[in-house]
Amino acid sequence: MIAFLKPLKTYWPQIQIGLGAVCLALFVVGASSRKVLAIALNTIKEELRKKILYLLVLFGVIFLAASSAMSKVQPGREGEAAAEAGLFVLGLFGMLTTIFSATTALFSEIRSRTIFLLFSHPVWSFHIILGKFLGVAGLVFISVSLMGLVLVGYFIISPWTDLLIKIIPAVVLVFFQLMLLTAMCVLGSTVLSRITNILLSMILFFLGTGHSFFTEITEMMKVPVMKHYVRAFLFIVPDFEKFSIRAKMFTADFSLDATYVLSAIGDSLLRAAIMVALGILFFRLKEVGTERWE
Amino acid sequence: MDSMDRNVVVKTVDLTKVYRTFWGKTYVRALNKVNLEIYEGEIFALLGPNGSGKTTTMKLLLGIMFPTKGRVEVFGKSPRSVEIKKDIGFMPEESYLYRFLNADETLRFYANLMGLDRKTRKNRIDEVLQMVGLTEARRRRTREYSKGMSRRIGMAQVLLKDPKLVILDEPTIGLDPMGAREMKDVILDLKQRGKTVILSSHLLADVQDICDRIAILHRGDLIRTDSVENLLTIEDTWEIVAKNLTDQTRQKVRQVIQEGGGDLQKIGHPRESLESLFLKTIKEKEVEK
Repeated sequence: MIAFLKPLKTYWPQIQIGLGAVCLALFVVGASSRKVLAIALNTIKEELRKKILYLLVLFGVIFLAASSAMSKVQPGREGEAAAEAGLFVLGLFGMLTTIFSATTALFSEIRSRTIFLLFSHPVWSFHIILGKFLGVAGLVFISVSLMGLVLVGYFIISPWTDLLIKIIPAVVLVFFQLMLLTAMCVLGSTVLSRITNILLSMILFFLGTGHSFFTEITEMMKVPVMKHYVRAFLFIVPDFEKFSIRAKMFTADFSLDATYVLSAIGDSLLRAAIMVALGILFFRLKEVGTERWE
Repeated sequence: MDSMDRNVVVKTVDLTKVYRTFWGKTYVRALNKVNLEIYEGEIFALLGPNGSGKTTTMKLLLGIMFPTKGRVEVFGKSPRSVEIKKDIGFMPEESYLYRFLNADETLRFYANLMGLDRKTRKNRIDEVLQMVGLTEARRRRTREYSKGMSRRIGMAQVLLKDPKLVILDEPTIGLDPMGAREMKDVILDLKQRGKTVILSSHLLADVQDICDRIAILHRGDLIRTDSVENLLTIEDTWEIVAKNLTDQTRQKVRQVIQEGGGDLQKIGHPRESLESLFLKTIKEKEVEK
């Protein structure tokens, strides 16, 4: 059995890339449905007209202040420090935007009861959940792109333009990290209340970004049963850490090659597809509108 | 037409809905073994006080909720079936709208869910906005709409679909008398076009005006179902309406009734309904202008 799994482990990055490509194709096919697209675009439009954009503007100001300040406190590695600070702020504000939008998307549809009208139209749970996921992912793409452009623009005019070769893939990975977080929040919103969903998403995101640390702690556990349970739990928790490369991308022992980036993207797409599929299943079984009767 | 000859559009058999707490304890029995048959082309009203089960019935018909016991069929299929949704139009009690969209965008969204192509979509949207009198407000965000306007946009998304079955939750609530009359005319027009309409209302005069049959619900129990005619006719009382009677003739009528052993209750002038008087007065004023 282990011998059989060995090549699987060896070629796991390539397998992830392949599976990710399949999932990407599935998302593209799903998005080509007019109903999914209509729900996705409606989600983007609704969210964009809220005040999230103000948050992005705020980010821009904070980013510039933070990165320029960071470049001065670490003499000798000003560029790296500015990049780390910028990516940190991008990831943080991206995470907040994602959690806010992704936990709201389906919840607001249920709370404002527009879901009743959706259900009176010929749409499947598949259209609603995939539409919501793609809509929020689109919104995350817009916000990460805007923030990424500010970051990249800052480095273009700075003396550290050579760092862009690492910064751009890092921004791309942040987007796929947040896309995975989006899928997790959308899945959560099919079964949890909004507050529970926000809290759980933040906890899982925190656990996921410290994946290797928690894995190491698990291996040190003395009680085997406990160790197995924690291992199983960590297997389920998405490894958000692999997308967050700002701290290690300037270290000598880390190589940022295409296989790393693509396998991380593949992993994100695969996990997101599984979560969206589960979300569709749970939503199909969900009964909405039970909070009020007449 | 006899009910046996008519197509059944909606059928419920022992339909029961129980709301439970998180721990599975019965919280409220919203519907209790309700048996209904609603026929093609009729306007059917669900009446009852708050908490009687009207909205729950509608949600079950739309497949938003699942029955605890019993079953519900719409066009012979489960209401969860997506196939039948293209033939169902629903206007909820409050028009639940996307607050950041305008009327045009709202209708375009629903048209896309129906899979209408661009040209048909544009024509249909123009047509229904005109029907509900919102053409001039089409670019305003729905959050700026009055309650009456929100009801109209709710009706517009129903008309956009041109469905066979229309479900309306409190269609005239929040509308001024003119708006309520227009809404009732739209509903009567739907019936003329062969659509089946199910509505719930607290406004009994509205129901009496336009409905063919009524079901009265009370705390989840269906207590009466019949035609408006049968329910409201007082079998042992007769009404004679005549014009231009002299005092002498009225005396004679009184005498004939008494001689025949009848108990004369009232002879007087009939009264116009307040709604009719109001509408007539407003129309006259508009003609003057």
